[in-house]
Amino acid sequence: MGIWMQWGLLDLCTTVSQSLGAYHDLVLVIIGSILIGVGLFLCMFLLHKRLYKGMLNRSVKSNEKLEVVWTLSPAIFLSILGFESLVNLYSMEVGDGVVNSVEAHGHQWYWDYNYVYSMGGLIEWFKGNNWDAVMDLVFPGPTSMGDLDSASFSCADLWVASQLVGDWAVSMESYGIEESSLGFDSLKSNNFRKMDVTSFCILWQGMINEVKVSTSDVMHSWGVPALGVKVDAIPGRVNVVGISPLTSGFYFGNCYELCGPGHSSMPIFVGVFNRLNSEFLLQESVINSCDWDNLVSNCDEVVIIEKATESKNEFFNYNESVAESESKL
Amino acid sequence: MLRGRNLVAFSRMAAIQQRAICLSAATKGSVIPADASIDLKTYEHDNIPQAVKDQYYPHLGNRDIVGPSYGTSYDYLDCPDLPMPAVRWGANTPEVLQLREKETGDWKNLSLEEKKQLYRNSYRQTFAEIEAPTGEWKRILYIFCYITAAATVYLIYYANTVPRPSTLNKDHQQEMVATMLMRNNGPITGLASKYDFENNQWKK
Repeated sequence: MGIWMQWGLLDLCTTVSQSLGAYHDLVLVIIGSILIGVGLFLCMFLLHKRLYKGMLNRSVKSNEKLEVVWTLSPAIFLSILGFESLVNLYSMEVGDGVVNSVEAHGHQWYWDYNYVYSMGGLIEWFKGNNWDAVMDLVFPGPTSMGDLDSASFSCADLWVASQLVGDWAVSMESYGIEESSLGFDSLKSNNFRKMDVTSFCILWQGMINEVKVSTSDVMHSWGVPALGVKVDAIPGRVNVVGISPLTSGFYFGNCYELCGPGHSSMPIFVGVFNRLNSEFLLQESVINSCDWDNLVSNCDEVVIIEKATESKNEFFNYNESVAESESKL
Repeated sequence: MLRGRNLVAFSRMAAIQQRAICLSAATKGSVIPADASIDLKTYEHDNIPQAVKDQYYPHLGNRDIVGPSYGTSYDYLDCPDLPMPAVRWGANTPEVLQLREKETGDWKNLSLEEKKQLYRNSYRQTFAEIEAPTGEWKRILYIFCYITAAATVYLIYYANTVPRPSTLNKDHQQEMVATMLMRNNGPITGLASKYDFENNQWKK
């Protein structure tokens, strides 16, 4: 996102947006030269008393060469701009090789993102690697007691995920966080007024993502400046744009089509992650929406407990040592 | 500035270059019905009969056309850029015609008052009067001050009644900067690129 008193464009993280940034620079040069030319004429007319001793109409008559120049030069500039613009337009086509497809659906006044997530691919990856590698990923190292709970939960997640193999339709509603909820708590990320949301759009880094934008009521527009994207959401139509982010990170946007009083309160928050993290997030959203108790009661609990126990041992020992040292104090 | 002999020479030369387009120019878009009794032919600007003038330039009345028109009709205009208007300012009264007869003789026989009358008959204002300040800047200034004052009053009311958003608070802004750094916003040329994460300080 931008900072205070920012003059230039944001850091652009797709090749399309970087082309648009270069186009912006080209247009700025042409605008500057036109401004200088028009400004010269303006100064000539405003200062005619000094330049022409008040006799402008007698001194400035016809000039056919000038008329030819100011007819041909705009035509040349416009043809250059038009060519570049068309090149950029066709580079924004989605193309082949889409690996992640997101539906961004506009409502008054929030967005909802829909994915079709195939649960199973990640589990296969985990099964292919041994559990030690998996545990290294899930437990990067003993940090605090708080991580113990999250670690065991993640272990259970993997088991639950293995029971949920298949295609899942994931839907997340993204509401703008109200100003009254803004806080200074470092655990919260909702410090940005009219920018932070309840759930964000997930895109994959380095791969072609397809965003299908539509609406169920009035016109909206899904735009993220850093990704070089602005797509109108028109009732009865689905507009598609391809996004290939080069770097991971968080990118902000807004609704760009006036849609009512809440138009400024429906921000867009895009999280770009590598494939693994993206799949983790989607998997998490599927798991969180499941009926856990029902699932657990219908399975082999021994397996999950054994696996969880193996990995918990490190943390369990760490936990005991911390408890001992605290008791001594 | 052309006067006298030079004026006559200029006007005649200009008339030759702009051959009496008066009739054709006047009838473009005109709603005056054509009078069949008037003989339509090309006239030089200083030779247009009164009947034709009444038909196509009713605003002229008894005044002489003394030069080529700047537009499609013969009008009087006081402008330093255009020192020779197409028509005389005053009508041809008997007194003026008498003076004009006298003007054809030696100008030393004209008194200052007569010269002034002749001038005022041909021209409405002198150059000094045209270029004299009008004082309109005061009117423009007061309108500007009025609008500025109204805007200031509204601004004072707004500042004292409408609550300011929390993002204008400096502490909140510092927290926002910290969060932006945490999220690595602007890693190439933006905010995060100016922060040294290893030493936990801003780059120098």
